[in-house]
Amino acid sequence: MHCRRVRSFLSAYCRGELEGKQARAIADHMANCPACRGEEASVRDLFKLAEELPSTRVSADFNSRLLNRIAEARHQETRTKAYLPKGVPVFTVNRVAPVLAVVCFALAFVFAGGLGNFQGHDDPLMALGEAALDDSYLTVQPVNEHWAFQKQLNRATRIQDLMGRIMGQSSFNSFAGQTDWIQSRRPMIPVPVFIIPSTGSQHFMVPAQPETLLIREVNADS
Amino acid sequence: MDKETEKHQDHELIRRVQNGDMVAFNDITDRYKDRLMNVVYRMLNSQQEAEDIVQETFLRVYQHRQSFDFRHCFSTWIYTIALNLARNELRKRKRFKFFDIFDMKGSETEIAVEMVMPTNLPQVLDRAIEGLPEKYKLAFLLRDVQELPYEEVARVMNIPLGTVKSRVNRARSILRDKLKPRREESNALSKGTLLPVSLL
Repeated sequence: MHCRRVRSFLSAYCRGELEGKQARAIADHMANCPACRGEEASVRDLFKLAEELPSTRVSADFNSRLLNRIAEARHQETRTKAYLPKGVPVFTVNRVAPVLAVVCFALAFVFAGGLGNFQGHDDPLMALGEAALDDSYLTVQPVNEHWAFQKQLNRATRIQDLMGRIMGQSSFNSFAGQTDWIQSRRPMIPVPVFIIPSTGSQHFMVPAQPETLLIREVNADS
Repeated sequence: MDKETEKHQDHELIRRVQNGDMVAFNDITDRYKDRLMNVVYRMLNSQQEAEDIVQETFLRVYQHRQSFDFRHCFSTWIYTIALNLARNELRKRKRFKFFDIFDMKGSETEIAVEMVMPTNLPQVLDRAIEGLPEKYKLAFLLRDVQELPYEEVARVMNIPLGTVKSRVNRARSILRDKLKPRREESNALSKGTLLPVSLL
């Protein structure tokens, strides 16, 4: 056997993992080769050191913390089972949560008007501010008809409240004579329109920057 | 204790755990917690994270106790769970890369690293293991530190037996090469030889 081949088996040889003919061939080679004996010594050193490796231990309260976690898991398991008739499969939160998330997302997507609502401008209110308003924009959307509409309505109401706070209650009152809702051709994008009773002019608000509102007058023609 | 006796005792304990015996579960925990900690810690290099992984491993063992297959070794099962959890943790780390001060380039850092270089040989080996590529590290730790049989290492790592043997062999030879200069220094010092200044 050549030195190179012997050295490739050396660690297995030192661990006693070789048997029979192969082990004997290496032993014979070792007897006559001082260089390989030197290598053998370094392999044996490595194994000796591996036994002396610093040990890493878990903290002293490991078992008690683990038992607490198990007790918690068992408690949850029994609670869930206790309220269900026998034979009914038990669904844990971990199993049900992803399914629920997908269902909620699908419902929200359907109620939001499908893909149509996600095309065009990112912010529908911004889009409305940029667009020239004409009669076709001014359609009245009945309140509570739709969940997504209600969401937009809440948003519009928040803008209205904010407006009141910015301008002070007294000036807000002058705006509050009548509130109408503009519905763009894109579904479910109502914005509050304030009609000032003294002049009869209509105003609407669009968020221009974060925390900034633009007040624009609706075209006299519209 | 030989492997066969250990396997038999593990099976006895897990059977009792399946029947709701928490004392047996505590015994299993005591039997494996430090062994798992030694491997997981060397994979993650973080005491806290390693301990969390080991806790999670035992929790999973408890939760899935009824699905244990008595044809296999319990140790294979528990090591597989722990190492899968540790690998997931490593994958998460790759996604969110944290920068360590020692990763930064510069002479001051290099000096700092040199200053904390361990002097005693087992610690040098520990550092060398830390620097091994993951696949070699795991094979070496399971075979030569945990002393699992090759067949069990192959099952835990889910790779063929021949691949395990070659990885273990490769890891041993990398470590031997890394230890050589340190060992020579240490031998020279013990014999009172004069060393070049660069080695001091």
